[in-house]
Amino acid sequence: MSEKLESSNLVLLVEDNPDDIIITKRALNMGPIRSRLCVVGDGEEAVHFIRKEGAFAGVPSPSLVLLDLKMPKVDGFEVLTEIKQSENLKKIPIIVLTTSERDVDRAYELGCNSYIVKPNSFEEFRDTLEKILQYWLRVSMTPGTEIMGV
Amino acid sequence: MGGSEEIYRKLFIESMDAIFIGDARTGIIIDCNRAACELVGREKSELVGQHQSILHPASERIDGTMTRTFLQHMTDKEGEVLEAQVVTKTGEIRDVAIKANIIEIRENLYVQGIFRDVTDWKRYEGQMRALHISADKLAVTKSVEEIYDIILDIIRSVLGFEFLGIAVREGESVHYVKALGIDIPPDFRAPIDKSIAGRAFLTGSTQLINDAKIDPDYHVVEVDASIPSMRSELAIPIVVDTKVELVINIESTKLNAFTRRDKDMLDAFADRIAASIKIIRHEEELQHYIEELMRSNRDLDEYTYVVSHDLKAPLRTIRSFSYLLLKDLGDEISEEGRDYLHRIANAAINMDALIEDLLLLSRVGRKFTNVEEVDLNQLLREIEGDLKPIIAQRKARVVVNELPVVHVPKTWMKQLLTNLIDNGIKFNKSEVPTVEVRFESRNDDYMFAVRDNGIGIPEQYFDKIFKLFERLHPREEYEGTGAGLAICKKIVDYFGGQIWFESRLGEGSTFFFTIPSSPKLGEV
Repeated sequence: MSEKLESSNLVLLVEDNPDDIIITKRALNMGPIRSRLCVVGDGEEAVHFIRKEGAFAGVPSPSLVLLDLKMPKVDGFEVLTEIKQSENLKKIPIIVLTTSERDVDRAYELGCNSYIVKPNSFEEFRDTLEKILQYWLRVSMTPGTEIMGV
Repeated sequence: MGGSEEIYRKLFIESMDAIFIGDARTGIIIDCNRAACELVGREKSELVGQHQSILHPASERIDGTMTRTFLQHMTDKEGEVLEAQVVTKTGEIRDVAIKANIIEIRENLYVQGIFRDVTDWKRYEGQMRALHISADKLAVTKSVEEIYDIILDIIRSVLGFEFLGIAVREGESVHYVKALGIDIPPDFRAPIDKSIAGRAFLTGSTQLINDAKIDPDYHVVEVDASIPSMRSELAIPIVVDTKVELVINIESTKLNAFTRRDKDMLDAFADRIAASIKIIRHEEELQHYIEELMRSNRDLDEYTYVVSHDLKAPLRTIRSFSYLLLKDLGDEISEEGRDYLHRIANAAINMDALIEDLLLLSRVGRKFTNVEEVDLNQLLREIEGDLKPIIAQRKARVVVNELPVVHVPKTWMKQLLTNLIDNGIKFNKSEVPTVEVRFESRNDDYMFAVRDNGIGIPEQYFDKIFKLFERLHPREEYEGTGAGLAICKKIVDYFGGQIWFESRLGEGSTFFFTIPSSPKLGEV
């Protein structure tokens, strides 16, 4: 697999808790799948990033969004609503990563592609993230993947 | 004998019963007394010489000439009391009981009819009937509004009136919430100290007014000049716990329209209404408390839920960073330092377990509550599978007798049995820890028993067993949060059953619980 394809594995983490940002970064780095991680701290920035607006003009489209639900200003539900109602953007897979199972129905109604409750131990969390990446970046094809060598 | 004849004449004229004497062959009235004139509201001169059918409404006439009762008396009913109706000169219909006999004097046949006015009796009879019906209706009312309608219905069926209203008190004025006969404007208020209804409010006793015009408190409803002025009034207070809740006000344009018996009947009616209002108030109060309780329970569960999740986030941070610290710098930290980091991580893990149990407790009755058909034999196999690690580790035995199929929310039934079996194995020092599950089908429920050969429960802890986070043993000796049995109790409560235990120190414990054969899931 070429380096060019690997570099397109852009994962956008939408998370306001600095601890969780570090933990997620570490966990992603330990896994076998190489990815680029961008982090935004709230829903408003997430929407700007995905739309490549303002400070985010020119950023590449993420291959995957890891979305926390509880955030200040614009929360995860609003991000889901915004993105999944947009004809151009709704194809981007959004994985909800949260602490409780109770919002699962609502998140799927708003169009999330997967809903994952964060495991409590670091090891389990690392394994879960690895599975997510394994599936969404390797097993499953996502729209816009550059098809190489055909 | 002239004197004697005068006496008889006088007895005839002054008799309290109305007496008509007629020609039996022609039906022409020959004579009548004063009471007879009063009964039909006519002068004697208007009656004598007329056909007897003049006394009765058209409905009583047969062949357009003789009346039903006259002909009956002439034939087979002589001397019997027959019920009939008479009509007065002004067209008013009155109910009468007639007794008549045929007298032959010098080959002439005369009919003597004695009429007794039973209009009022009939009315009271109807009132008693209506009162009985009202009792049935009042017994099933759910709101005071419904009671208003019953009041109007019943009174309309038993009394004649031009106005019927239900009044409530608003400070120093009387306000009609319901009215029949006259449309009362919604903003109309009568002063409480200057109206007859107001007097019923103030005194708490029924006001029977024969001539309202001469009553100092008579209050004219100045709504419309076309409204006839009222002469009789009956105002009945409905007294609930010494407070006058309502006044039923009945008015008539006639003088003396209402009698003492009407009043007595309505007083009895008022007592029944008061009793019904009291019951409704109690029910409303009870319902209010129930709703409050349910709401506060829901709030508490919601609170537990939110707090638990907020508590878990920092724990994940603690666990993750102590892990990363060990991983990154493990070699550079002293053995003591590594021990401390492990302790930090373990404390976080324990707290996680506590929070998980709290969450579980808050979810009983809120989540996964679909009642399913659960084959408990199958469920026990699942539980044994889940508990495989501890069963293997402790070389334990789980003995399951044939169990029934029950209708319960499966998730909670599984949680309940798992906790009890797990406890039986965990708190156990026997060579072969053994837990036996059996059941008994009783009249209205199933009784289950989970028996172990464990350490038993010291008697002084008997009343603490089902309390939340009560641990009887140090954590080092027996793992667990102390929430297991509290969760069991909440689940059994939710099923509508009961849970209890028997225990002997050093010999073992048996936990019993019941589930109703037809469970009604309650709020917990």
